[in-house]
Formats: sequence, structure tokens, C-alpha cells
Amino acid sequence: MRQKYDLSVNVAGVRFSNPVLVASGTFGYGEEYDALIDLSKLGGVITKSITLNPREGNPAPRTVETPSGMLNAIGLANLGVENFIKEKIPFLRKLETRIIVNVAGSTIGEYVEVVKRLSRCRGIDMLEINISCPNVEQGGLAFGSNPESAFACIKQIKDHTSYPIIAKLSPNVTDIVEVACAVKEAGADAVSLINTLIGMAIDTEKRKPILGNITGGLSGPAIKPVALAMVWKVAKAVNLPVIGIGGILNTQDALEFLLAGACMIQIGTANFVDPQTSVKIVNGLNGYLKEKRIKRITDLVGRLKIN
Amino acid sequence: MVHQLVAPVLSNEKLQKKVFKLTLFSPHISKTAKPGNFVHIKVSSNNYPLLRRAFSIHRVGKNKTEFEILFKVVGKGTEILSRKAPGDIVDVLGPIGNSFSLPQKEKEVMLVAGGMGIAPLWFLLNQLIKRFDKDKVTFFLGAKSKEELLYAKKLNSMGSNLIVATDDGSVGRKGLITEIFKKEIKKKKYDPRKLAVYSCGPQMMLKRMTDIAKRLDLFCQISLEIHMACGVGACWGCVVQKKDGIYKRVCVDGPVFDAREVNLE
Repeated sequence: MRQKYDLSVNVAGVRFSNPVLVASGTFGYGEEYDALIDLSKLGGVITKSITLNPREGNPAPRTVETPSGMLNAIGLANLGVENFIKEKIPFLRKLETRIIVNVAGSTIGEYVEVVKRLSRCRGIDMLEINISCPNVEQGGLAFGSNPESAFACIKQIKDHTSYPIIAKLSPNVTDIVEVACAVKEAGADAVSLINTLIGMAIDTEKRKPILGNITGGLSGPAIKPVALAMVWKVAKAVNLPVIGIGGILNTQDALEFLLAGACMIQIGTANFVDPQTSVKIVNGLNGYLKEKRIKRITDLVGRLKIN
Repeated sequence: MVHQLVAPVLSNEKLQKKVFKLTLFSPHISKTAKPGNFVHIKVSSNNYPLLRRAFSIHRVGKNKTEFEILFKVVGKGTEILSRKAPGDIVDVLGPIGNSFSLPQKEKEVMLVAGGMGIAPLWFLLNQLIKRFDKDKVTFFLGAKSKEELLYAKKLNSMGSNLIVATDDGSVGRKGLITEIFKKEIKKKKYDPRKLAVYSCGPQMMLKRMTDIAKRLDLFCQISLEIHMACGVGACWGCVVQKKDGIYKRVCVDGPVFDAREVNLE
């Protein structure tokens, strides 16, 4: 039987059962949350950033709580692409949800190599390219911080894979719309935004930065208004599917992003607060459609009224 | 296995000016928890504080329906928790993490607690004395001062050996509990290979325990405390560095580690 209210979304030819994804870096490799939530209820799972070689990450402390948010400076700790394919893909492949693998690198060549190796592997639906990590010296934000390097990185990746590509954008730029335009030019199939905002916290007793990396990335409800404004700007200016990220804690927050122009959303820090958040939002969106007698979730996207 | 559950508060007892013992109803945690495991608690229903707070399981009830955590008010999260009362409910993830490995029968067992470090060791001690000769178990209990000393009376009535020390000497021996412990093994000429040591306390104290354990090649398990975000192994925020440079997650690879294996700062 066809569902009366339709939460499904199509992005770059991939059909998602609903618009709710879990954000890279907040959901491990998926298996960590298997005991706590029904993963098949999600629109999709986005893995931790995968790099060519295993990475140990940054010195501790790596996280600190700040008002209505948190800073992290994990430093792209991950097991490397080969181990990922061997050890983590078999679990992910079995899930009845979409799998998006997040890719990072310190050179364009490294991004391309990871993408090539993932392209030989079954069970992946899309790739998200992290050109916005604020916590590593090389790569990451270096590529996402200006339109030219973002273009070069995404272009090379597109030339080497048939997977649809999401470019994950940084808010730590002068004009995020310019970067979004550049990655569209380069062939990106969608953009996701925002990654974390660069932030800092200080221990006044020790007169030292709290994080081992000195600065980190701010996430959580503290950044939601910033994220919402950027999603709105990009969705308005660039003809690409926009995936909204930034401090979404509940259905109300998710609706704000959809109205601002995001066709999908990602749940990040809220997974730490309540592992059930993403599932609750899927149910909440369904309830909203029912209550408002709206047939499809896509009917809400970008329907912000501005006189 | 870790569950997310809503646990009713059964009691919240003030033991000292800032120290509380919270009893929560949860047959699942009470039945499955092992000494060393912890719970990750959402203390408020709003955004501040946002993240959960991790607490060692302090005791499980005899009837296996409730468990206790012992905590000190140090910030906003624990302050909110200190105001919980019977009838309130809290959102709990647990039990999480690895556990202390119980020693072989012939070992001499020593537990070394500093301040709030008594929290997981009390659970461990209660298991140990069921299986071991009480004479072979020694508890080293340290605190800053008499006012902050916890459980001295209770430990005295347990029947195992008890050595108390305070930093200012206001009760028991004077000095750091790690120094007292070190002197004791020297004085009694214990063979390090015949000892099984378990320790928990402030970071600086555990650092000294790792130094002692490494020097004597002592079997010593320590339970680490650290800020955590997810608490389930997903975020890689709560790491400790092993001596080979590899980072381990305190939440699921720990919180119990071999003191000879980790580098603390």
C-alpha cells in the first residue's frame, strides 16, 4: 500500500525513504549505534571521514562542552580506507538504509585515491567529500576555504568516480555561496552545510586552551541560526540539492531547515544528547505532514514566505 | 549490553557538603553491570548542559532492581543532578565500558582510592570479598582531609584491611595515598608479581599509579575519568594514549586500563 504521507526524497538519482541523515563524525561507522536505535528508520547513515591511511587523530582533550554546544578537535581519527572496506562495509551493506561514505584527504591525490578504492566496493550509495574539517593542518578546510581549490578538488574526484558526490561546505569562509557555486561548476551533485565553526575555550586556572589542538569546531544548537542563514542563502542562489546541518535537535528545527531550502537534513551533536533524536524527527516529520495535510515532504522544501 | 532507559530516582542522599549518592531504579543495569562499568546520564531536559555526564556504577542492589552512583558537585551538570528527588526520572545509557578483571585466587589484592575514586572500587570490593579471603584484600583510602574522607567507617566494617591517609594528616597517615601504598609494598616486601592492584582517583593520582606500576611491572588496573561526548564509541572524543602512541577510547575500550600500558599527563 502506498503511504498516504510521503517522506521520501530523491537526491542525484538516489532515493531516500526520508530526509533524515546522521552526520559524519557523530555516528562512527554506524555499528556503534546499532544497539540503541533502529538504523533502518533513518534516511541514511554518513560514516566518519575516511582517509587513505589510518589516522590516530589529535592529542587529548578532544572535546569540551560550551554553552548550548560543544567544541571538538578529533583530527579525522579513522582506520583508513582499506580497513574500512574490510571491517566496516560488511555491516553497513546489510542495513536497510542508504550509506554515504565521507571522504577526507590531505592532498587532492589522496581524496582521489580513497574515492577510487571505494568505487570498487558494493553497498555505497553516495560519497560526501569533507573539504571543511577545521581540525587538521593539511587538507580539509584548505580545500574548502576558497572557490578555486574547492573546484579543483571536487573536479578531480568527479573525474574518478560514478558515485553521486555531496560537497560538505565550511562556514569559515567569507562567502559560502561562492564556494557552493564553485563545487557546482566542478560537478558536485549536492552540497551539505554547515560543518563546524572554528572556536576555542580556555581554562583560566591553568591559563591554557582546553583542547589539545588549541582550537576546535563548534557544533550543537549554538550554531543553528548561523547554519540556517547559510542554508537559506545557498539554496536561494545555487541550483543544487542542499542538505542542512547545524544544531538540529528536534522536528521543529528540522522543519526550519526544510523551509529555508534544505531537501534533507543531518543530525549531528544531537546523537550524543539523545541517540533516538533522528528517529524521533522522522516520526515528527510524518506527524507534521499528517497534521497539516501535506502530501509530500518535498512540498515543504524552500517554502519560506518572504514578502 | 548498553540500553537507553528512563530510570526513576529512588533516593538521593547527601553524604557530604558536595557529595551525593543517587539510587536509580533499573533492573537491566542492576542485573548486567560489572564493576568498572559506567552510565551516561542526561541531567537536564533543555540544552544546558547539553551533553550527558558519565558516572561509574557504585553499587547494585541485592535484589537486582536498582543501582547507585556516587558523585561530587563540580559544575552545572552535577549541581542539577544533586537536586533530583524520588519521583523524578532520568535518561540513562548503560551499562557501558569494560570492567575490572578479577584476580587469580592466590593473589594479594590491593585497592587504592583517592577522593571520589571510591565510586567504582566500592562495587569491585563488594564482589571481591565474596570470593576472596578478607585478609588478602587491603583497601588504601585517600582524601584531602578528614572532611572529605568517604566510607572510612563502612570500609572498616567490611573486614578487609584498611589503610587511611589524608594529604593534611587530619585523619590516618599523612601524605598522598600513592606514596603510602608504595611504602607499604616496600615495607612488607611484597613480590610485585603476587599483587593485583586496582585504582581510581584524580588524574594526577592515577598518573603516579601508572609510574609505580611501570617501575615495578605491577598488575594494576586503573579506571579513568574523562569528559565524554557520545559515550558509545562513535565520536572518538574521550581518548587516552597508550605507550605505543595508539589512542584508545575511554568509553568503550576502557574505562579500565592496565596502568603499565597508558601514558597519562
